[in-house]
Amino acid sequence: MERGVKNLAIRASAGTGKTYELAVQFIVRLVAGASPADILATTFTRKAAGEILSRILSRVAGASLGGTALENLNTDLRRVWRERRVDYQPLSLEDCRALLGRMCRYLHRFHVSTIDALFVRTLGVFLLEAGTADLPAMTDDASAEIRRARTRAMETVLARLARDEVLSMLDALVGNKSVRTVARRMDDVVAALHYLFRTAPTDAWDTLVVPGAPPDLDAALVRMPALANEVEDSSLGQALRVLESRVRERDWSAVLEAQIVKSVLTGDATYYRKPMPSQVVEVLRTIAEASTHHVLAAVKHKTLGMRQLLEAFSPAYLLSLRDQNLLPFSELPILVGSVLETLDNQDLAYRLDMNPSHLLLDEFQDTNLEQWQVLRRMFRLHDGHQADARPSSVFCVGDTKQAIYGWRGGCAAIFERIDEDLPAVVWDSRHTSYRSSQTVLDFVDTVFTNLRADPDLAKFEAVLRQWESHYERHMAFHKDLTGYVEVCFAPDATREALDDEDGGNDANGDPASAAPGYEVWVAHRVAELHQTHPGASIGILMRTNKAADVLALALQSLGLPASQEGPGVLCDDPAVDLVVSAMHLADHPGSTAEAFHVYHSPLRDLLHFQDRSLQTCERVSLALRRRLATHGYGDTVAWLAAALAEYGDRRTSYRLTQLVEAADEYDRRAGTRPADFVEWLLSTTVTDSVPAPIRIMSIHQSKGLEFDIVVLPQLHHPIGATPPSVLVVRRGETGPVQEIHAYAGGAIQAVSRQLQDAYRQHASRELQDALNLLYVAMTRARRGLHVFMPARKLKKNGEPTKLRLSAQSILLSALQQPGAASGTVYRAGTWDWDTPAHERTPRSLEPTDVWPTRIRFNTARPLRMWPEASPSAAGGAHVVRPVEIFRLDTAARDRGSVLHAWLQRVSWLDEPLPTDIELLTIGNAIAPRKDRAWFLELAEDFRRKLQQPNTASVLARPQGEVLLQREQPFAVKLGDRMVHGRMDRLEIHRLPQGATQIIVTDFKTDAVPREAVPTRAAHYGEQMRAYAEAVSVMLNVPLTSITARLLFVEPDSVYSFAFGNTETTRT
Amino acid sequence: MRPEVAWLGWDRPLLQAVTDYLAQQCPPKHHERMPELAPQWDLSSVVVAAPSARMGRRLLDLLAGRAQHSWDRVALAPPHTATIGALPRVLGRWTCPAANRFEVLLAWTIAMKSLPEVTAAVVPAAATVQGSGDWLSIARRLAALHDELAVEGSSMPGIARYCSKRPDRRDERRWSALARLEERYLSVLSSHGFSDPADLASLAVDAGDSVRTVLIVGAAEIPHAIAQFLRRLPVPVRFLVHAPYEERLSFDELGSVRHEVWLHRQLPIADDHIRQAELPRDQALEALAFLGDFADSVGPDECSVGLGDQRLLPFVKRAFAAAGVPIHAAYGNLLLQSRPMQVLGLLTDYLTNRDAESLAALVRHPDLERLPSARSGMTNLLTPLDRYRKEHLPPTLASHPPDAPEARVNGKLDAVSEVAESLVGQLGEERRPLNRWAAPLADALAMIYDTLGTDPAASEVESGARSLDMPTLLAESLQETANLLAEMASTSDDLAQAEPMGAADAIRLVRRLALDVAVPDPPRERAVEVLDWFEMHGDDAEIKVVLGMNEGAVPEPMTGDPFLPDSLRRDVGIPSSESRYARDAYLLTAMVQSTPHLALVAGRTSADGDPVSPSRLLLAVAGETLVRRAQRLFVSSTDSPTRISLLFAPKATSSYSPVRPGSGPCLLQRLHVTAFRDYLACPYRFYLKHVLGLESVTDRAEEMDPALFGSLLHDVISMFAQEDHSGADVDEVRHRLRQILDELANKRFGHSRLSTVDLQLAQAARRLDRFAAFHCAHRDKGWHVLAGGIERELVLDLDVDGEPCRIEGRIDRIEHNVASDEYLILDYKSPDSRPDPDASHRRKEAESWKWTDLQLPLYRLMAMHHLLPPGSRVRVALLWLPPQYTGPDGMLVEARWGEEDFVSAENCAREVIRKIRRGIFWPPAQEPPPFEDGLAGICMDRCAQRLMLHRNAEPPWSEA
Ligand code: SF4
Repeated sequence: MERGVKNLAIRASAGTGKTYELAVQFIVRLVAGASPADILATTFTRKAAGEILSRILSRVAGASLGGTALENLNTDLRRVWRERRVDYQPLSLEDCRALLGRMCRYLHRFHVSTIDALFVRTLGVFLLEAGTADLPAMTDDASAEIRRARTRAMETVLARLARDEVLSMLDALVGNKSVRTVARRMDDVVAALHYLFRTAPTDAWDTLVVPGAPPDLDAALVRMPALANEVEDSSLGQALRVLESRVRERDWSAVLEAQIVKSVLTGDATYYRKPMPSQVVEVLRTIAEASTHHVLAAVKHKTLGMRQLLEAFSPAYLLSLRDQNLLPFSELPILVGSVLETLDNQDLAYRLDMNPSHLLLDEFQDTNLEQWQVLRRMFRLHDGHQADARPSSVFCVGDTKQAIYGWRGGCAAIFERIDEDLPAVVWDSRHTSYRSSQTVLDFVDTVFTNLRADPDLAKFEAVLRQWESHYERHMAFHKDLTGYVEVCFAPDATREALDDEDGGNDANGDPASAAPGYEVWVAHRVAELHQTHPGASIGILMRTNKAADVLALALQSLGLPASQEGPGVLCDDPAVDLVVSAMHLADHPGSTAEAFHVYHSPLRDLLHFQDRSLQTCERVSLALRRRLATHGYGDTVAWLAAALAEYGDRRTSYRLTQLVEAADEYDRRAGTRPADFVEWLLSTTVTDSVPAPIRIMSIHQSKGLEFDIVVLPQLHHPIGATPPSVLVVRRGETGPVQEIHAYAGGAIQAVSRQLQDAYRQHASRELQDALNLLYVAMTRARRGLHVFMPARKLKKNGEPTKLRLSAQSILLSALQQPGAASGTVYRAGTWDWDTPAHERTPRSLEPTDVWPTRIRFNTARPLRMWPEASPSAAGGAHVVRPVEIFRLDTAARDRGSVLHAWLQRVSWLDEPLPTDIELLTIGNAIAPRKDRAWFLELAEDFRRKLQQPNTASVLARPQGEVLLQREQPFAVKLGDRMVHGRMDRLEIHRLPQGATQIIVTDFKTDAVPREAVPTRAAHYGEQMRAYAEAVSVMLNVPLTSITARLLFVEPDSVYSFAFGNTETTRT
Repeated sequence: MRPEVAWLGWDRPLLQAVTDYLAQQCPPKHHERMPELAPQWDLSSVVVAAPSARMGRRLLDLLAGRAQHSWDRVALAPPHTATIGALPRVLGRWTCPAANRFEVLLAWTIAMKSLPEVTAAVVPAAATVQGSGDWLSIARRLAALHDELAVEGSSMPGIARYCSKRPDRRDERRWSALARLEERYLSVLSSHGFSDPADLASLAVDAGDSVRTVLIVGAAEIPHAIAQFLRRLPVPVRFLVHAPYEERLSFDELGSVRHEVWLHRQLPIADDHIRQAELPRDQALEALAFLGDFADSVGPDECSVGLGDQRLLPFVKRAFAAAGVPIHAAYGNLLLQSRPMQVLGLLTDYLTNRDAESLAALVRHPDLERLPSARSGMTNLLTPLDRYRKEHLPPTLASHPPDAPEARVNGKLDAVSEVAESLVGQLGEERRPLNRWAAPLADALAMIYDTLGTDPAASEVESGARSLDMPTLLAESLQETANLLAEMASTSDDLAQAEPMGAADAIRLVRRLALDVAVPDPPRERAVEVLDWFEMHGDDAEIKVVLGMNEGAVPEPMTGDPFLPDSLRRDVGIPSSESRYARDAYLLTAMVQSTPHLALVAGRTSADGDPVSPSRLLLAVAGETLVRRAQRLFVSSTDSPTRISLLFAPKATSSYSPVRPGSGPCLLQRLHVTAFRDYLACPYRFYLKHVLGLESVTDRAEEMDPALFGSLLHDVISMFAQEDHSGADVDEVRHRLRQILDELANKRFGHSRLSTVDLQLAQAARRLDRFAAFHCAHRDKGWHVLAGGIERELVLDLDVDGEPCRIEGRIDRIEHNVASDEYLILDYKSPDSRPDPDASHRRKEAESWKWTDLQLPLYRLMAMHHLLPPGSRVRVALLWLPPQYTGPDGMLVEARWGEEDFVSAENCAREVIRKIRRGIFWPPAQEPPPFEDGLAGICMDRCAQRLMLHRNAEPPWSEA
């Protein structure tokens, strides 16, 4: 590694084996002598990280058997060395095994992780530098907890700011409208923009140039009525009058929409092709200038309003996150970056126990700028460092065609410009696909080499050039892998209300909604595919959650083994819904709908839900909450789920399993309100779907996966349909943010070059993302690729209406069929492709289900472990009332314990008593905080107590022979209980006849009034009997010859117990 | 005393070997003076120290078993048992009292605050550290570091000296700052007369005269400071090593593992010890499968499950419960998660925020819920509280007496907020020394749990649940909480004076310490023990399975520490990744040698969902074995799982479907005009809502929802219209409207409102301004309100098949234009975009119109029937209160229906009534409503089964 090429960047098209390549590069470095600890490999998903590591290990493990596996490894290693222009010594079997041994010994020093995991680890080490003592819980930005943290922060902000201040901020945000919901609006703004606010310079929000207002607007307005009457063209007159009223209403954007104003702005100055009189033009120009000023001022005002809101919000939000000890993933690189600022690189490596000299960066195109900044700092990649401090090699692999995380900051340009950060990068590319059939690849090539066929893309020259610059045709590695591609429209019958042209402005929002029958049609097509290729995996890749939901329902109702993944899908099961209702009821006993739901379910019996009266609902609700409070969510949900599973099928069982695990996870963060749990559940993404041959997911989720058949039913989802909240301008593609403007469209954008440029940047990014998404979607397919499109709406003359810009429109243009409206547009390959011999043995896609079966242990066996019964607990300690538990009278407790210890030191009263010094030493060990005076006083009291008649009688030496054991430890099995402890006094008397009489004495030193002694003594009955039984077992004497005594020192009472075989008598 | 080592061999489980050893070394003897008594096995002068308390407890079991069963009736005087960590405290004594946990934290805090510049070198963000809570968390970190170093005989100054001697003097600055902090901490303690509880060197040996021998059992390693202490003991200390004599070179003179030996040793793990599992729950299933093989011949308590990673515990709990196998988790339960701690947490929230939200959470806690009713005798308090919050959006309950008296719901809300206030009342706002917070907190808890104890319902509701030892668990956690509070109460007043804090911070501190306290799982007979990995070696079960044998868990990695990098740990000889490996390699070896049936399960996915590798301990083999094992562990056979694990046995088909409406005719006698819309949208939901009267209640109240916002506007305009404003100009109208808005807002929301509500009111005022303009313009066109034409309640007995059905409705506004002699029926709407009455009332389906709402047509019908002269011309319209400027003309949106449309609407109403009478409420509509109506669960909106209800509907292309 020391010689030859150090830094290598590989453009690897889809399916060309990025993981494989990365693993080979890793192994090359190991073979060259690096230790696993010297190499850091990062990627983006945990799954990918796992795959890389297991690929590295399994290749070396496999090669250690010798044979072709070793040959193949050698071939790959040789290729890499050759690329690096270094000679290569093939690995012998011994080398390989030695390498395996080394790897296994250093398994703990492999650094293969996601960038996030690397950052979390860094944060863990630099906690105090980050100003916190505990590692925050990492949370998805879209989670319910983060939402709540935002809400709290917003509440504090609103409560702190003056009302007028907030009002004017709100006005700026909504453009002087009167909105019904304000909290929602403000939350939308901060949710969308906080990250931008944190990462962009503040002055970027203040960059819109607003031209001044013309001084003579009033004069122009005064002239207007006369002008309107004077002009010959009466319709122009009318237009002027309308315009005047709009100006007076200060409806400036409407003014800019007016034909006559537009015409003046474009310099055309005509009205219905006729030039307008010059006085009119003059007035109109003034009006145009005024409106331009006002609308742009409003945009700027709004942008500044956003900034103002964020400025107030951000610190409160960060504080609220810290209060909850939460950290959203978006904040992670920012926080880690800020910590690194303060550190020396040497310290960093040392404290992280990680000083890699080789970096392998996977999926490089998805890195975002903040992550990259941190990585550069961490690994000394930035210019400021001397060459020898840098890592000795950096390898990165990526594919800008697959950059689909632009919406969350992913910046593919970093990859393309890696040369700017690293010296002497050698570029290479891979385009042999190990995944797809050539039929699929040809189709991909056809689409992406014909992008220019779509006239709508002409204005995005830079994007097109970017695509063309590195695009290379894909080659299938498995030449004989057959496949099938089709692009076709749904039949006319599904057309109905579909409206391509203005669907986006629909009040009910979903611009990609197709006619209701469409998803059902798609479901039927998928059913056909499933029948034709029963063993094949099918991935249905969607753009919107709503359509995915509908399609999932349609497939399941056809009885197809389909599963869906994504946020909230846990709740697509009736049993899970019942748990949700039960939780809702727990929080809101007055909720009759949920009560009804739970009442009419298997949970009725479980919850003792006899009727639906409010009384009963309250009781059920309270019982549920009590259970939740005592045992947590996991336990309670598992309890409910077990009852519900009795009536559910496999799918229900799977969902309930996931639900229980989610609930256990929630216990780690638990809030106390069940409603919070429900909210959390609905915001939680399920990635681990019900395993099924047919899987529905978003294109984003499909990244890194592959399917035998890919179905794309939603390519008509328009590009750029949802306007962004702001337009962002960056300097260069990887530079800092330069300008931020609140979004404005149409006529407003038309009057500002700046806004237009900003919009163009935005639109280019959106198009780029959309093309990448299309590329990713198509290249997931191994064998079959099916593009389905809803029937197009027809104009009166029977021609289809023009499509909005979408993946579908791009694809149709690339296929030279922009006007196609029905039937099959493209078809290639063989529909009933078979599985060639070299394909792996068909994987069983319907895995077998396993579940815990009942295990019956042998309960006739003697116990190995005897449950413990501490004799003092047997005295009913658990009936102690909370008031007593919480009586924090430490002085009384100390006094009791010290007296007790002293009493234990007394053998017989006729023997010398312990001296003050001895008493002090004993007492000190028990109550170290008490002073000498306290002890001396107590000692005096102690001596007095010994003289009390009853106490003295217990301690007086008896006649005859007696063996005294003080503090006698014992451990005895009684029945199936283990009893152990210490007896204060055990006296064994040898009676004249040779029989034995045993007296067990226990001291009670708490302040019991004399009259309370009998009740108190009764409490200890069990304890005393346990002592007696223990003695009986230990010493092998009958119970009847044992007496147990309680000595209550404070009131000077003695209480004796004698024992029959069953009963205890007290005296 | 010079330590001695004794070799127990490893052919038996450790504790059995120890029992044998004790039987041999000090066999039972008859008592000299009373030989007639049973022989005595007197171990009372022996102290046995083991790595965990549980081992000591198990040893008692085995000794008692030996005494009572193997030998016939021997009187056992058991040894004193302790954990190795606690041994110095058992056999030693402080000259000055040791500081308690609170005092330690206070002393650290005081040390940090007194040396701000030094502190900044450790916590650069110290300046931004906010309340005492944050300081105390940092203090807790430093205290833990101090303990960790001290037990190994090291210290912060020690590390600092080490750093300064290194050539690169790396990290020296931070450590010398830490060193100064530690010195200051110690001086704070000693100036208050306390010993540092971590300082074993200053602990005086005080073994008492009864201790003759100390036995250290199964200690793979002895921390340095403890070893030093043991050397000072005047009695023999013997280390019993669970290994044969032949292995003596692998251990040092204290019987601890020699790292250099165990780091490179091959371990005797056989291939069939190892199992692999995909997901965490698969690991649990593997454990069940393994144990299941022995079930016939053993009891559950003869098996143990070890967890390399504690986070696997829930997976084990769930799978074992599903298999009907009881478990006993030796870990116990976190005190922090116990009920009294939850209550304290909620109290902190309420103390800090004092708002309706935190109050709602507080009174919902099951332990508090009975309190208000116990005091006031009132029940059912939550529901009125929910409704009140939803409708009146109070920021707090205490300070929120709106003018409307009924709003207080007959004192129920007062009862709730009084209880909360009485709880926190004694806590107050001021700052006090920590020790003086203990009593008020204890009093609050005593009050809460005393009510609970005397509440007969509390035990009654639980009887439904499986027996779960709830009272025991609760009693234990109350006791532990009380112990913490007692410790807090005993905190030195002097020390606490230096760092007074508010009640909320005091609670936070208690909760922080509760993190480290476990409440034992109530004992359970015949249960499989679930143990920590490091306790597995000492357990004497013959059947053991260890889960989580993965990298990152076993051996525990020592990287990622904020203070001590692994390399530093290794260099200064405190536990490091290497030493952990060595220890675990020995534990595993001894376990393999001494356990007849052992399974080691490695997962592929961690409890957090991360992919993980098997533990390198499993790969500590060489040659062919390594190659074979690596194949097995690394070369995964398939990339898709071949088996799917479920927790519950599935049935072949699902029995779930929405509850069918009751059959038979429906007796609904009257219908509200707006109910027709509901029926037309979905007969089933109509049934749920109007026949059964179901609703879903929530209490999240951040601001007015659109409906509440609309109804407020509506109320303002109605009130205004009932006054006479015939001559008023726009400004006067506007002024009056705003006045009314103010009055109504005060009435509904009170004077102190959520700031969001204030903002919304400002928004509402603007819409009213627009209404003022409309009002005047409209009036000027000759329209005036018909007498009694405001909020007019009307009924209509619609004759359907000879039987009348009563339809009720309230018309917002009826106007008359004298000039044109037309009537206008108006309904107010306030959506954000212009409403279209036609679109909101009917929809084109195929070629015909289908009514979706009958509101305006029915209003017209009612008005014509009761109010207007026969034959009048009546128009119907929506009055839109728009968000942005709209001319008066734009605000009136008229429905341009012809007479035949009205007739068809009336017929539609009849048809609906007929269907309702016949009880047709099934099936539900195919499409659920676009908004959340709280019925989604009952209607199974999100479930595939819902579509099955419509399966008979042919897909639209089927004819083709
Ligand atoms: S396809 Fe991507 S952008 Fe669209 S909804 Fe799914 S995850 Fe979001």
